[in-house]
Amino acid sequence: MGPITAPDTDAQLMLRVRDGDGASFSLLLEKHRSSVIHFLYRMVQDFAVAEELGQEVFLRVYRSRATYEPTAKFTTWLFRIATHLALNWLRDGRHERAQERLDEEKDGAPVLQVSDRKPSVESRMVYEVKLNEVRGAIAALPDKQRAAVLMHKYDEMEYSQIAGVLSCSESAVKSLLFRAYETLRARLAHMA
Amino acid sequence: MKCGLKESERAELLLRNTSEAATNHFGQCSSCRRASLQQAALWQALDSWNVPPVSSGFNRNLYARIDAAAAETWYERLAAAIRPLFAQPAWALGMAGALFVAGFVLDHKSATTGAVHAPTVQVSSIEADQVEKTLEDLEMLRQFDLASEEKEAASKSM
Repeated sequence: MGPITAPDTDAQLMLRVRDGDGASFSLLLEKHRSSVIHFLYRMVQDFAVAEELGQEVFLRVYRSRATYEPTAKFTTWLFRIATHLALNWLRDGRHERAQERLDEEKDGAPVLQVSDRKPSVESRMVYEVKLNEVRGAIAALPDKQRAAVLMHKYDEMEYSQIAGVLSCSESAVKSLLFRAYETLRARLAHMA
Repeated sequence: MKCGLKESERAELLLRNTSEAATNHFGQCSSCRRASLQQAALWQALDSWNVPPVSSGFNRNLYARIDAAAAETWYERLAAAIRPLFAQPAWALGMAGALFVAGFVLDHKSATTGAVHAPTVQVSSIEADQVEKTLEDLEMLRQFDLASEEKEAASKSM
């Protein structure tokens, strides 16, 4: 990838961070924190781990500020770091140890309180069952397919950007997405 | 009915199923029309996956880590940077091999220094060859490692 002619707003902010402007880093953090952590959460399916990895992502961004060059869209770079960390975590098998913790505290996420005015216990249970099926189907996808689906569906990224994150061609991304959605359609067909 | 489109063309239509081309094709192809309806249902199911809000202490913890990182000495940063390499067996093996060869070269040099003075240039060229060979070996190990990782990744994504 060659240098882009007009850096996007985020890249301009990052260039200011490079020049020592801490406020610009705070702006980038506020803007992208949720999307990065939500992506990581859906990748690793453990909220505590997602936040830990999210901190590592922004720490790496901050540490790389001195050598930052806007050779690609800022979010492509950001999600490349996030994807790399998530895939490493999954490959290291740390999810198995985290799974043991999940048995004790589901998701590492705050437990939602159900009051009388909220959906009934029954509808809540139906929702939980469906949600678990969706999570299970996503988790069963191969790592790259999972990352591609999450970026495409939840972050509404273009094929070219997903290709930049996963370091592959656009046609490879289309193929990954096609296969992933085909698998998901088959696994979740009963929910239609 | 079997659809005559290529996989990439079907993907394009299913993932952008509101386009005119998609509507036209779905009018003629029952297989793709069914897949498109299933895809819409799938997207609806995926929409139901909400995530909890980010913890209130996230920024505080991050800035604490940034401050701690800023206070690190150069050798702590170096150690942190190379630590992941040692988690990979091939790299650890390669580094161990390099240290062994370097030790052998140094030992060999000290053993020959006192006895033979004339072929100094020759000894240097042997050292250079050995270092080059070691670097090649390391590169080969790295390539093996990369190749096996790529193979593994390819088999997973299939």
